[in-house]
Amino acid sequence: MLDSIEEIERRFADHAYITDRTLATTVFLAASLKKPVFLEGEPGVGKTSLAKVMARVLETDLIRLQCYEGLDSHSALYEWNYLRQMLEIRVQEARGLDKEKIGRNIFSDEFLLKRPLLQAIQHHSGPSPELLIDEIDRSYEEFEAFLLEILSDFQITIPEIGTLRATHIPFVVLTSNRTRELHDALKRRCLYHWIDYPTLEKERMIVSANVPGIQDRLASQVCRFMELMREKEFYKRPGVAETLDWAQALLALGIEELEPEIVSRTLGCILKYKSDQEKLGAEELQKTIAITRNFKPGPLVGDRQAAL
Amino acid sequence: MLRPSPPPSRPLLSHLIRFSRALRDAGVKVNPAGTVELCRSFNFIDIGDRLCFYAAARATMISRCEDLPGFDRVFHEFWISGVEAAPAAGRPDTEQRDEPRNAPADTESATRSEEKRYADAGDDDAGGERVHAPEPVSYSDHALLVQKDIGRMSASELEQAREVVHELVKVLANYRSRRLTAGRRRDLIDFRRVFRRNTPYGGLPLRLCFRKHREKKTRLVLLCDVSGSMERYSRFLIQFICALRQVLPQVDIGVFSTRLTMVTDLLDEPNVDASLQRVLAGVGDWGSGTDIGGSLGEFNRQFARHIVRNRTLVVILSDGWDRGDADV
Repeated sequence: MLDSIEEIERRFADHAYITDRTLATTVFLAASLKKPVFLEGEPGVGKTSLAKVMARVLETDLIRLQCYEGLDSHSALYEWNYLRQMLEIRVQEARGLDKEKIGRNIFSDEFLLKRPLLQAIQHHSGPSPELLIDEIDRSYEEFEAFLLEILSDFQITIPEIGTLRATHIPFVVLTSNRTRELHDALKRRCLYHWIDYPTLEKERMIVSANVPGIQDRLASQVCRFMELMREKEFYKRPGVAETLDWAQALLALGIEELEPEIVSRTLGCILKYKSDQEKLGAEELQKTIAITRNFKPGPLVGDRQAAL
Repeated sequence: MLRPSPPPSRPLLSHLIRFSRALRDAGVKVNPAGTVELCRSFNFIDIGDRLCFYAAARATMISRCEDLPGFDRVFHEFWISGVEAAPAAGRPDTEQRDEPRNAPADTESATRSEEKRYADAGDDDAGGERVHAPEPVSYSDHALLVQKDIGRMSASELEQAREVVHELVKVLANYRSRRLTAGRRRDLIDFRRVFRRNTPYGGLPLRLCFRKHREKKTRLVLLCDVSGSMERYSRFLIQFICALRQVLPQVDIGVFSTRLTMVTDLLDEPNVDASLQRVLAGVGDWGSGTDIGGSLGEFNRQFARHIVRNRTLVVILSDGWDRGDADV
């Protein structure tokens, strides 16, 4: 089990996820207080990755519920396998079973389609699982209310079976891209953390950890370039995922230093919208690259914590 | 294993409560049960570690990213510089000086160091009251923008306004009906229809029918005033309408100045500027005088029959300056 905040930081770093003290404390408290973690942030900053790495750190299963508009309890909780039930009745009739005995077993476990939330509650094998509820801002408000009920008690009532209670409370992570504001009731139930774009040093560490073999000089230039890009007005600002994609692409191409031609050819790794690519004109690209090449990075030290 | 912890000492608890009040005074939306959760978290962290304490407070007490700057500021002022509000004359100072002496013996050492700091601050206060009223730091961006005159907005505010419009438009556009209708996607099986449809097969469900929630879209008619007095706002209004069209296809738009022109087809361009050009080209009387009554009358006569239905919403965007006949 996780004993301390430092251990969390260490174990996450082992899996190439660089945390900071605040995030590690939040995760530690969530595991200790048995409360869900609510991660908010721009797309591509590492919210879903945190959940995945956490599952590896806790050495447990990750049960993922991907939210979308129109998600309802049938897709999230459970559904009866109507077809199998009907076939079972037909088969029993064909076999000539007594009239009273037909259909007795159709509301049993084998006809129940367990969706992620029920899977999380009914997880019996091994340590308590991790439940990731991804992009909850894409679901409807009614679903939030429904989720709140589940998260409060970790028990559900299936009319035909009864009440099912969780044997172990799972570790729950909720993520949101902030496309809409979530209800207070749900946020209050959780520990909140806003994941921002990383600082330059942090991003360098992330790139070094996730793109093995990359030269420090190129990594620094890439990070500085991304930092400058994020200051500009784009429809979709590039996140850490884009930085890593780009770094891997440059490594694969054997690039050692940023050149305007290389950057414009690989711009698709960073900017995924044509209008954004057009907005970054050739002149501005040259200027930005010139700044990154003049950039002299300091030595890579441990994570400098915010001076409080 | 968890070590059973003593309840937080009274001085620390009262500081926490005062901290939460300071946050509220500063306009930060504080989680009501946050203080309790923070106390619970003391079982697991070392509150002498400033960063840990900050992280725990941040995770339990706030739940919106807009509150982060305000929270940081109040946290810094409250716990680090040691300046805090003196709510009533005299009493808090004496409280602070007396209570550390009565502190229970089994308090954690970390708490004692906090108490000592506040006891010292209290002693310093003996001379007079230091009144410190934190100003509201965080404000609702939306609320400010709503009140601001569009014509006087800067470029960045216009950008923010555009985002607000996008959000509003999404909310306006759809409402999900609770009624269920026949659907082809695999949502819910419609058993009634399944049985009926499969009677030729002796009840065996060979053909399945589904139901899904019906999504009803509001029908909207927008009539925009583009006369001279509304010149500054016209561009923004067209952008608003274009955003609306992306989410709500069934919207009819008309512009009027001295007369009415329906411009629904002209706004089919994905690019806002191109749309604006087409509308300007197509409308003859842009920026001229206003005749609201006449234009609306024309709408009623010519177009209403085809466009306006039972659940249609007609919205008139105008500033009301009219040169025409008021009785029309």
